[in-house]
Amino acid sequence: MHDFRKLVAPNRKQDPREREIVGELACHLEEMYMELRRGGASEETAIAVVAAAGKDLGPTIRRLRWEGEGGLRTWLRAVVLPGLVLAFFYGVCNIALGAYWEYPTLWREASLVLVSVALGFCASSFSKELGGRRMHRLWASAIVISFQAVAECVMIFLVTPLELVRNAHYLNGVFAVHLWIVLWDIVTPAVALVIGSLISVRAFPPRAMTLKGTVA
Amino acid sequence: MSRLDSKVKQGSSEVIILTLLSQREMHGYEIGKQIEELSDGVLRFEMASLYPALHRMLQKGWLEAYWDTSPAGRKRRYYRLTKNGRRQIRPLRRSWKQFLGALNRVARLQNA
Repeated sequence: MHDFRKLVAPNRKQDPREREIVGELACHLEEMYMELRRGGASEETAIAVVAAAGKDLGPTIRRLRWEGEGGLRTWLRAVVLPGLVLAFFYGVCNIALGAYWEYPTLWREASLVLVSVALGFCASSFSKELGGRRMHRLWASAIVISFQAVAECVMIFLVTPLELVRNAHYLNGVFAVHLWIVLWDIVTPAVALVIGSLISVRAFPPRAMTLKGTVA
Repeated sequence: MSRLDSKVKQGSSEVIILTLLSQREMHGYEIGKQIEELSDGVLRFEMASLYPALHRMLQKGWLEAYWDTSPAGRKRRYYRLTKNGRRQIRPLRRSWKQFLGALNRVARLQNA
Protein backbone atom coordinates (compact mmCIF):
# COMPACT_ATOMS: atom_id res chain seq x y z
CA MET A 1 0.00 0.00 0.00
CA HIS A 2 1.17 3.54 -0.72
CA ASP A 3 2.33 5.98 1.91
CA PHE A 4 -0.32 8.64 1.50
CA ARG A 5 1.32 10.80 4.14
CA LYS A 6 4.07 11.51 1.64
CA LEU A 7 1.47 12.71 -0.85
CA VAL A 8 -0.05 15.07 1.70
CA ALA A 9 3.23 16.59 2.83
CA PRO A 10 5.99 15.56 0.43
CA ASN A 11 8.45 18.30 1.31
CA ARG A 12 7.44 19.02 4.86
CA LYS A 13 9.59 18.01 7.76
CA GLN A 14 7.49 15.78 9.98
CA ASP A 15 6.39 18.03 12.80
CA PRO A 16 4.85 16.19 15.77
CA ARG A 17 2.19 18.88 16.01
CA GLU A 18 1.09 18.12 12.45
CA ARG A 19 1.15 14.34 12.71
CA GLU A 20 -2.54 13.95 13.41
CA ILE A 21 -3.54 16.48 10.74
CA VAL A 22 -1.34 14.85 8.11
CA GLY A 23 -2.65 11.44 9.19
CA GLU A 24 -6.24 12.54 8.73
CA LEU A 25 -5.62 14.06 5.31
CA ALA A 26 -3.70 10.94 4.27
CA CYS A 27 -6.74 8.85 5.27
CA HIS A 28 -8.86 11.00 2.99
CA LEU A 29 -6.52 10.35 0.07
CA GLU A 30 -6.42 6.64 0.85
CA GLU A 31 -10.24 6.45 0.78
CA MET A 32 -10.22 8.32 -2.51
CA TYR A 33 -7.63 5.95 -3.93
CA MET A 34 -9.53 2.84 -2.82
CA GLU A 35 -12.75 4.14 -4.33
CA LEU A 36 -11.05 4.88 -7.64
CA ARG A 37 -9.57 1.40 -7.69
CA ARG A 38 -12.93 -0.15 -6.86
CA GLY A 39 -14.38 1.87 -9.75
CA GLY A 40 -11.92 0.23 -12.13
CA ALA A 41 -9.28 2.95 -12.43
CA SER A 42 -5.75 1.77 -13.11
CA GLU A 43 -3.06 2.11 -10.45
CA GLU A 44 -1.38 4.98 -12.31
CA THR A 45 -4.63 6.88 -12.89
CA ALA A 46 -5.73 6.45 -9.28
CA ILE A 47 -2.41 7.66 -7.94
CA ALA A 48 -2.37 10.61 -10.36
CA VAL A 49 -5.87 11.70 -9.30
CA VAL A 50 -5.06 11.31 -5.61
CA ALA A 51 -1.75 13.16 -6.00
CA ALA A 52 -3.58 16.03 -7.71
CA ALA A 53 -6.09 16.17 -4.84
CA GLY A 54 -3.29 16.15 -2.28
CA LYS A 55 -1.26 18.81 -4.04
CA ASP A 56 -0.62 22.11 -2.27
CA LEU A 57 -2.06 21.07 1.07
CA GLY A 58 0.72 22.90 2.93
CA PRO A 59 -1.38 26.04 3.63
CA THR A 60 -4.30 23.85 4.76
CA ILE A 61 -2.04 21.94 7.15
CA ARG A 62 -0.66 25.17 8.58
CA ARG A 63 -4.18 26.60 8.94
CA LEU A 64 -5.48 23.48 10.69
CA ARG A 65 -2.49 23.46 13.02
CA TRP A 66 -2.94 27.14 13.83
CA GLU A 67 -6.64 26.63 14.59
CA GLY A 68 -5.89 23.40 16.47
CA GLU A 69 -3.48 25.26 18.72
CA GLY A 70 -6.14 27.80 19.57
CA GLY A 71 -5.21 30.46 17.01
CA LEU A 72 -4.60 34.08 17.90
CA ARG A 73 -6.39 33.92 21.24
CA THR A 74 -3.98 31.27 22.55
CA TRP A 75 -1.00 33.26 21.31
CA LEU A 76 -2.20 36.37 23.10
CA ARG A 77 -2.92 34.44 26.30
CA ALA A 78 -0.03 31.97 26.41
CA VAL A 79 2.72 33.93 24.65
CA VAL A 80 2.18 37.67 24.68
CA LEU A 81 0.77 37.97 28.21
CA PRO A 82 3.49 36.02 30.08
CA GLY A 83 6.14 37.49 27.79
CA LEU A 84 5.12 41.07 28.53
CA VAL A 85 4.73 40.53 32.28
CA LEU A 86 8.20 39.01 32.53
CA ALA A 87 9.61 41.68 30.17
CA PHE A 88 8.56 44.23 32.76
CA PHE A 89 10.45 42.32 35.47
CA TYR A 90 13.43 41.98 33.15
CA GLY A 91 13.47 45.76 32.69
CA VAL A 92 13.28 46.30 36.46
CA CYS A 93 16.14 43.82 37.08
CA ASN A 94 18.22 45.40 34.34
CA ILE A 95 17.79 48.87 35.83
CA ALA A 96 18.53 47.57 39.33
CA LEU A 97 21.69 45.81 38.21
CA GLY A 98 22.76 48.90 36.28
CA ALA A 99 22.24 51.03 39.39
CA TYR A 100 24.21 48.65 41.60
CA TRP A 101 27.11 48.20 39.18
CA GLU A 102 27.35 51.54 37.47
CA TYR A 103 29.83 50.25 34.89
CA PRO A 104 29.69 46.93 33.06
CA THR A 105 31.53 44.29 35.04
CA LEU A 106 31.70 40.55 34.81
CA TRP A 107 29.55 40.30 37.96
CA ARG A 108 26.89 42.47 36.42
CA GLU A 109 26.76 40.43 33.23
CA ALA A 110 26.80 37.15 35.15
CA SER A 111 23.94 38.38 37.32
CA LEU A 112 21.98 39.38 34.24
CA VAL A 113 22.49 35.92 32.75
CA LEU A 114 21.23 34.27 35.94
CA VAL A 115 18.25 36.62 36.11
CA SER A 116 17.50 35.83 32.45
CA VAL A 117 17.57 32.09 33.09
CA ALA A 118 15.18 32.56 36.02
CA LEU A 119 12.85 34.81 34.04
CA GLY A 120 12.90 32.41 31.07
CA PHE A 121 11.89 29.63 33.45
CA CYS A 122 9.10 31.76 34.91
CA ALA A 123 7.80 32.90 31.49
CA SER A 124 7.72 29.34 30.23
CA SER A 125 6.00 28.00 33.35
CA PHE A 126 3.51 30.88 33.33
CA SER A 127 2.78 30.17 29.67
CA LYS A 128 2.16 26.50 30.43
CA GLU A 129 -0.36 27.41 33.11
CA LEU A 130 -2.16 29.54 30.54
CA GLY A 131 -2.43 26.66 28.10
CA GLY A 132 0.82 27.15 26.18
CA ARG A 133 2.45 24.28 24.37
CA ARG A 134 6.18 23.83 23.92
CA MET A 135 6.54 26.36 21.11
CA HIS A 136 4.32 28.90 22.91
CA ARG A 137 6.52 28.57 25.98
CA LEU A 138 9.73 29.19 24.06
CA TRP A 139 8.22 32.23 22.38
CA ALA A 140 6.93 33.57 25.70
CA SER A 141 10.50 33.45 27.00
CA ALA A 142 11.88 35.06 23.86
CA ILE A 143 9.38 37.94 24.13
CA VAL A 144 10.93 38.90 27.48
CA ILE A 145 13.90 40.36 25.61
CA SER A 146 11.82 41.83 22.78
CA PHE A 147 11.61 45.41 24.09
CA GLN A 148 15.34 45.62 24.54
CA ALA A 149 15.94 44.02 21.15
CA VAL A 150 13.63 46.51 19.44
CA ALA A 151 15.31 49.42 21.22
CA GLU A 152 18.77 48.21 20.21
CA CYS A 153 17.65 47.64 16.61
CA VAL A 154 16.30 51.20 16.45
CA MET A 155 19.65 52.43 17.73
CA ILE A 156 21.67 50.34 15.30
CA PHE A 157 19.60 50.66 12.15
CA LEU A 158 18.08 54.11 12.55
CA VAL A 159 20.02 56.30 14.96
CA THR A 160 23.51 55.16 14.02
CA PRO A 161 23.12 55.67 10.25
CA LEU A 162 21.70 59.14 10.95
CA GLU A 163 24.67 59.93 13.17
CA LEU A 164 27.02 58.62 10.49
CA VAL A 165 25.46 60.93 7.93
CA ARG A 166 25.95 63.88 10.27
CA ASN A 167 29.41 62.96 11.45
CA ALA A 168 31.71 60.58 9.60
CA HIS A 169 34.08 60.44 12.60
CA TYR A 170 31.34 58.68 14.48
CA LEU A 171 32.25 55.66 12.37
CA ASN A 172 35.39 55.04 14.42
CA GLY A 173 34.74 52.04 16.60
CA VAL A 174 30.97 52.18 16.21
CA PHE A 175 30.65 48.68 14.77
CA ALA A 176 32.69 47.14 17.56
CA VAL A 177 30.47 48.90 20.09
CA HIS A 178 27.32 47.66 18.40
CA LEU A 179 28.66 44.16 18.14
CA TRP A 180 29.37 44.24 21.86
CA ILE A 181 25.89 45.60 22.62
CA VAL A 182 24.16 43.00 20.48
CA LEU A 183 26.22 40.22 22.00
CA TRP A 184 25.83 41.18 25.65
CA ASP A 185 22.47 42.91 25.70
CA ILE A 186 20.50 40.73 23.30
CA VAL A 187 22.14 37.45 22.32
CA THR A 188 23.41 36.44 25.79
CA PRO A 189 20.15 37.19 27.66
CA ALA A 190 18.13 35.61 24.81
CA VAL A 191 20.16 32.41 25.05
CA ALA A 192 19.82 32.47 28.85
CA LEU A 193 16.04 32.97 28.56
CA VAL A 194 15.73 30.04 26.19
CA ILE A 195 17.83 27.89 28.53
CA GLY A 196 15.50 28.87 31.39
CA SER A 197 12.52 27.99 29.22
CA LEU A 198 13.99 24.61 28.29
CA ILE A 199 14.62 23.85 31.96
CA SER A 200 10.96 24.61 32.61
CA VAL A 201 9.85 22.43 29.68
CA ARG A 202 12.01 19.64 31.07
CA ALA A 203 10.73 20.12 34.60
CA PHE A 204 7.08 20.51 33.61
CA PRO A 205 6.65 18.67 30.32
CA PRO A 206 3.84 19.76 28.03
CA ARG A 207 0.78 17.62 27.59
CA ALA A 208 0.70 15.40 24.49
CA MET A 209 -0.57 17.37 21.53
CA THR A 210 -3.91 16.25 20.19
CA LEU A 211 -6.20 18.21 17.99
CA LYS A 212 -8.87 20.05 19.93
CA GLY A 213 -12.08 18.08 20.00
CA THR A 214 -10.38 14.69 19.74
CA VAL A 215 -11.61 12.29 22.37
CA ALA A 216 -10.05 9.03 23.44
CA MET B 1 -18.65 39.79 -3.05
CA SER B 2 -15.93 37.28 -2.29
CA ARG B 3 -16.35 38.03 1.43
CA LEU B 4 -20.09 37.39 1.25
CA ASP B 5 -19.41 34.36 -0.86
CA SER B 6 -17.04 32.85 1.70
CA LYS B 7 -19.44 33.65 4.56
CA VAL B 8 -22.32 31.98 2.72
CA LYS B 9 -20.15 28.94 1.96
CA GLN B 10 -18.98 28.74 5.56
CA GLY B 11 -22.52 29.01 6.90
CA SER B 12 -23.91 26.51 4.44
CA SER B 13 -21.15 24.00 5.17
CA GLU B 14 -22.01 24.13 8.86
CA VAL B 15 -25.69 23.37 8.40
CA ILE B 16 -24.93 20.63 5.88
CA ILE B 17 -22.31 18.91 8.04
CA LEU B 18 -24.42 19.13 11.19
CA THR B 19 -27.40 17.65 9.37
CA LEU B 20 -25.35 14.78 7.95
CA LEU B 21 -23.74 13.98 11.28
CA SER B 22 -27.11 14.05 13.03
CA GLN B 23 -27.87 10.83 11.13
CA ARG B 24 -24.65 8.96 11.96
CA GLU B 25 -20.96 9.35 12.71
CA MET B 26 -18.72 9.73 9.66
CA HIS B 27 -15.11 10.35 8.75
CA GLY B 28 -14.03 13.29 6.60
CA TYR B 29 -14.03 11.53 3.27
CA GLU B 30 -17.47 10.05 3.92
CA ILE B 31 -18.85 13.49 4.76
CA GLY B 32 -17.50 14.97 1.53
CA LYS B 33 -18.81 12.04 -0.49
CA GLN B 34 -22.26 12.22 1.07
CA ILE B 35 -22.52 15.94 0.37
CA GLU B 36 -21.58 15.38 -3.25
CA GLU B 37 -23.99 12.47 -3.71
CA LEU B 38 -26.97 14.03 -1.95
CA SER B 39 -26.57 17.27 -3.94
CA ASP B 40 -26.20 15.39 -7.23
CA GLY B 41 -22.68 16.70 -7.62
CA VAL B 42 -23.66 20.37 -7.27
CA LEU B 43 -21.94 20.78 -3.91
CA ARG B 44 -18.38 19.57 -3.78
CA PHE B 45 -16.03 20.14 -0.87
CA GLU B 46 -12.34 20.04 -1.60
CA MET B 47 -10.04 18.91 1.19
CA ALA B 48 -8.86 22.50 1.64
CA SER B 49 -12.39 23.62 2.54
CA LEU B 50 -13.86 20.51 4.16
CA TYR B 51 -11.28 19.99 6.90
CA PRO B 52 -11.03 23.63 7.98
CA ALA B 53 -14.84 23.60 8.27
CA LEU B 54 -14.77 20.43 10.38
CA HIS B 55 -11.96 21.75 12.58
CA ARG B 56 -13.74 25.08 13.03
CA MET B 57 -16.80 23.21 14.24
CA LEU B 58 -14.60 21.20 16.60
CA GLN B 59 -13.28 24.48 18.01
CA LYS B 60 -16.83 25.69 18.52
CA GLY B 61 -17.59 22.52 20.42
CA TRP B 62 -20.29 21.43 17.97
CA LEU B 63 -18.43 18.25 17.01
CA GLU B 64 -16.04 15.84 18.60
CA ALA B 65 -13.64 13.54 16.82
CA TYR B 66 -12.15 10.17 17.65
CA TRP B 67 -9.98 7.62 15.87
CA ASP B 68 -11.62 4.29 15.12
CA THR B 69 -11.34 1.41 12.71
CA SER B 70 -13.51 1.66 9.60
CA PRO B 71 -15.51 -1.33 8.25
CA ALA B 72 -12.61 -1.79 5.78
CA GLY B 73 -10.25 -2.23 8.73
CA ARG B 74 -8.51 1.14 8.39
CA LYS B 75 -7.89 3.73 11.07
CA ARG B 76 -10.08 6.75 10.45
CA ARG B 77 -10.85 9.92 12.32
CA TYR B 78 -14.61 9.98 12.87
CA TYR B 79 -16.74 12.97 13.71
CA ARG B 80 -19.91 13.03 15.77
CA LEU B 81 -22.21 15.70 17.06
CA THR B 82 -21.98 16.98 20.60
CA LYS B 83 -25.09 18.06 22.51
CA ASN B 84 -24.17 21.63 21.71
CA GLY B 85 -23.88 20.78 18.02
CA ARG B 86 -27.26 19.06 18.02
CA ARG B 87 -28.80 22.19 19.53
CA GLN B 88 -27.45 24.30 16.63
CA ILE B 89 -29.22 22.40 13.87
CA ARG B 90 -32.71 23.82 14.24
CA PRO B 91 -31.77 27.53 14.50
CA LEU B 92 -29.30 27.17 11.63
CA ARG B 93 -31.89 25.50 9.44
CA ARG B 94 -34.43 28.18 10.34
CA SER B 95 -32.08 31.03 9.45
CA TRP B 96 -31.13 29.34 6.17
CA LYS B 97 -34.79 28.83 5.33
CA GLN B 98 -35.42 32.53 5.95
CA PHE B 99 -32.38 33.48 3.88
CA LEU B 100 -33.34 31.29 0.94
CA GLY B 101 -36.97 32.45 1.12
CA ALA B 102 -35.86 36.06 1.01
CA LEU B 103 -33.47 35.35 -1.85
CA ASN B 104 -36.24 33.62 -3.72
CA ARG B 105 -38.63 36.54 -3.25
CA VAL B 106 -36.07 39.11 -4.36
CA ALA B 107 -34.28 37.24 -7.15
CA ARG B 108 -37.33 35.20 -8.27
CA LEU B 109 -35.35 32.03 -8.32
CA GLN B 110 -38.45 29.95 -8.95
CA ASN B 111 -38.88 31.63 -12.34
CA ALA B 112 -35.25 31.09 -13.29
